[in-house]
Amino acid sequence: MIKFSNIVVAGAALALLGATAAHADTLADIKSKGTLVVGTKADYRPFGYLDPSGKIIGFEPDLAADLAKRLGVKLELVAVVASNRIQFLQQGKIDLMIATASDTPDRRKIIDFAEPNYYGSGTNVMALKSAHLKSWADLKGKKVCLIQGSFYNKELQEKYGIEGVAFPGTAEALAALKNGNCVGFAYDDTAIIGQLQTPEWSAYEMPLDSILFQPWGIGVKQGETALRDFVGKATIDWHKTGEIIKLEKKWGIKPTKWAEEMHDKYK
Amino acid sequence: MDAIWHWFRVLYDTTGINLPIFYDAFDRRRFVNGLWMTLALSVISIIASVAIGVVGAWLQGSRLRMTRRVVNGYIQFFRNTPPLVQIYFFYFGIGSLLSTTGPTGHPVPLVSNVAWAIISLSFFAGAFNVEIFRAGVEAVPKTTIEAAESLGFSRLRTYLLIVLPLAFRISLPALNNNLVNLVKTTTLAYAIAVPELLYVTSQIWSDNLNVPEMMNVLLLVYFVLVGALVLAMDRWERAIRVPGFGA
Amino acid sequence: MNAEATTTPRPLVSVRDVHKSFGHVEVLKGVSMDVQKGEAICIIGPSGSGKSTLLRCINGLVPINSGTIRVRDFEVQNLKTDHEKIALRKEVSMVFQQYNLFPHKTALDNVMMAPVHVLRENRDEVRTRALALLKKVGLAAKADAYPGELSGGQQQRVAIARALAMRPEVMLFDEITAALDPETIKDVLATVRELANEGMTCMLVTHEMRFAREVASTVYFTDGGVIVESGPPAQLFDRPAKERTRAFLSQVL
Ligand SMILES: Nc1ncnc2c1ncn2[C@@H]1O[C@H](COP(=O)(O)OP(=O)(O)O)[C@@H](O)[C@H]1O
Ligand SMILES: [Mg+2]
Repeated sequence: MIKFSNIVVAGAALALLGATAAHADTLADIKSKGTLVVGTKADYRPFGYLDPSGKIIGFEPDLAADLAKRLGVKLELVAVVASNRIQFLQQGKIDLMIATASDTPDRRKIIDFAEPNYYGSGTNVMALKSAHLKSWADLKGKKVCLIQGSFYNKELQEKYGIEGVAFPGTAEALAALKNGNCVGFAYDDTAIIGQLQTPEWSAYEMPLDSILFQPWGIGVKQGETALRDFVGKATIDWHKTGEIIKLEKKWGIKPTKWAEEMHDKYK
Repeated sequence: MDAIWHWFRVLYDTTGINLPIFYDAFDRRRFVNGLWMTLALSVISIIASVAIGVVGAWLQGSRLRMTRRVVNGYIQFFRNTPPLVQIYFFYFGIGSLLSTTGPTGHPVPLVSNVAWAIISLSFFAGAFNVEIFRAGVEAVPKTTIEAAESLGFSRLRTYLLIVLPLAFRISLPALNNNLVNLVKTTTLAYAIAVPELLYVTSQIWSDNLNVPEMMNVLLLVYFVLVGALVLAMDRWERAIRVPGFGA
Repeated sequence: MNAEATTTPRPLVSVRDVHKSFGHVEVLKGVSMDVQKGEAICIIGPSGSGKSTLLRCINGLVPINSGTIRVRDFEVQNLKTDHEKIALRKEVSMVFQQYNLFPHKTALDNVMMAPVHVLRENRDEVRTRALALLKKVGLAAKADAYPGELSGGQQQRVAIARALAMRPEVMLFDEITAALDPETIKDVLATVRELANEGMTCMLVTHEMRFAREVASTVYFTDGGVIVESGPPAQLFDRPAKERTRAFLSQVL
């Protein structure tokens, strides 16, 4: 059974490889048409969101712009969401996906990710500044709002001893946090950063060190090795020159240990 | 005991049927707590909603028009809106108003999510119970009430000693249905993070990716729970049945 | 009036010019009667003439529009609160056509309930008295039976025992045999006869003319909300003065 499905996957992969090999490679196409099309988020402040004029700006659009500059082509940004970003890539609607996508083994079966990872998100909490949280241990036995079905819920309860209060969606969890039904809201640190940048949440902070880091990858269509390697080289550059750390600062993102480590690694 | 728990681990390893609520101490504790929470929600809401029904039906017979209007307004409100919306309304709507400020400037809610769940479930089922008891009260012959009155019973005593016991017997089948519904409706407390059965089960299946197994467990537990309630109510109905009265 | 009071004792129940309307329909149009302590009186008359309404007025179950009703020292028309009416009802017990027993209580509990809950008497003492009363009405063996397990006549006798358990000054009987089978009527009437003979003040609405003739000291004939004629049974039954009385009697006798 297991062997059979392996063969099927391998066969499919071979077929795909063959198909793309016959095709001209995308990197060359981009150069010849003079435009790089990148899918980014438009609703995930500050990683990709709309400025008042309706232009997509943010951390990831800046990375996309850098790639376009390296290629000497124009940049076209396409707004994507979690549910369509991989299809857009597979259908060729976008050349690259830089859209807060976690680099997971499951996804690697259908698209390719440039190496190394450019960024990533961890789990953190959003809490009132006046709560003076210092470490995860401070949350032991305390009520913490969660989103039902989040992968980190069990670990937070089991390992850190929080009393989870899980809601169906973000809006409910945020309302409960505001009402004081929990001392903090555990969520993706990258999403919390965006929340904290709105005046509504000015009394709140993200006080802890993120845990459970999940790396994000820049996606290319499977088999686009030239494009993939080009992005990979650029990513190494970003880490080496401290570009990522600079962008963190630019977009008001609390400096992460991960970005610093990557900088040290490629320095 | 450990041998039994271990058997479920072996079951998982050999067949892939994953029931961590037996072999994993953390999940087991969660599940048992959820079961207790569901029982607590059910029992407290049943008692409170029956009390609301009894008092409401009494107030509906009030001589003051204002009182009757208030009771009718209450019934309309809770009968004509979805219970999930009511729970949200209480928890997020009323709950945000009912908070004090703690020493560090935090808002501190005065009523917990569990309490809100009990309050809204009780009011929800209570509205139906008022109607159910009212129908029962109206079925008690006027002449029986007059006899009690002529014996010197006060209005309240007549209601408590004569009308209510008779109305109860008349109302019991309808009450059964409503209470069964109430037990099933406790699952809505899930929406405001009350760790009852559905909530803990969905946490467990999110963490273990064993949705089919836990779905079955959930279904079975509710089936047994509601079955026990129906059985108890049937027994009770038979125990208080009097010859020559009611069905 | 005062001069009379020195010669005849003050009546236990005194009804003076009572008017009662339901909506626009006047049901009692100026009714007066006196009942002495220990006396048994009967009220006869066609259906709808206001007999039940009169008894219910005396018990304070329905308020009157004008006139006065006095039972011992209670001015019934002046009783406003539930509390005051309850005090009256301890003196005046009523037995209904449809028995109106409490179906969820045994015969014994039916008899015990009011003394225990209204008079707040000691439960054991009440039980002893209730059992004696059930024995008196011939139903000692049925103490633990529910109303649904008793015949109509038996239920009515329990109802009489229930009314007596309050130790009233006056008993009101409203057509208590009208709903019964002929063979059970006898027992019920025997019970009432015994009560009257013991000196209980009784006001009976009845269609049993032979019984009325036998137990009543005075018979009142009502029609259309007024007392057409009253007098000792021998006079009213054998030499009625009014044509309407005669017509009624010729139909029922
Ligand atoms: N609660 C009531 N509301 C309106 N009408 C009533 C009520 N009780 C009695 N009546 C009317 O009063 C009249 C006298 O009734 P009732 O006293 O029962 O007569 P009886 O007992 O002599 O048959 C009837 O026409 C009856 O319909
Ligand atoms: Mg009548």
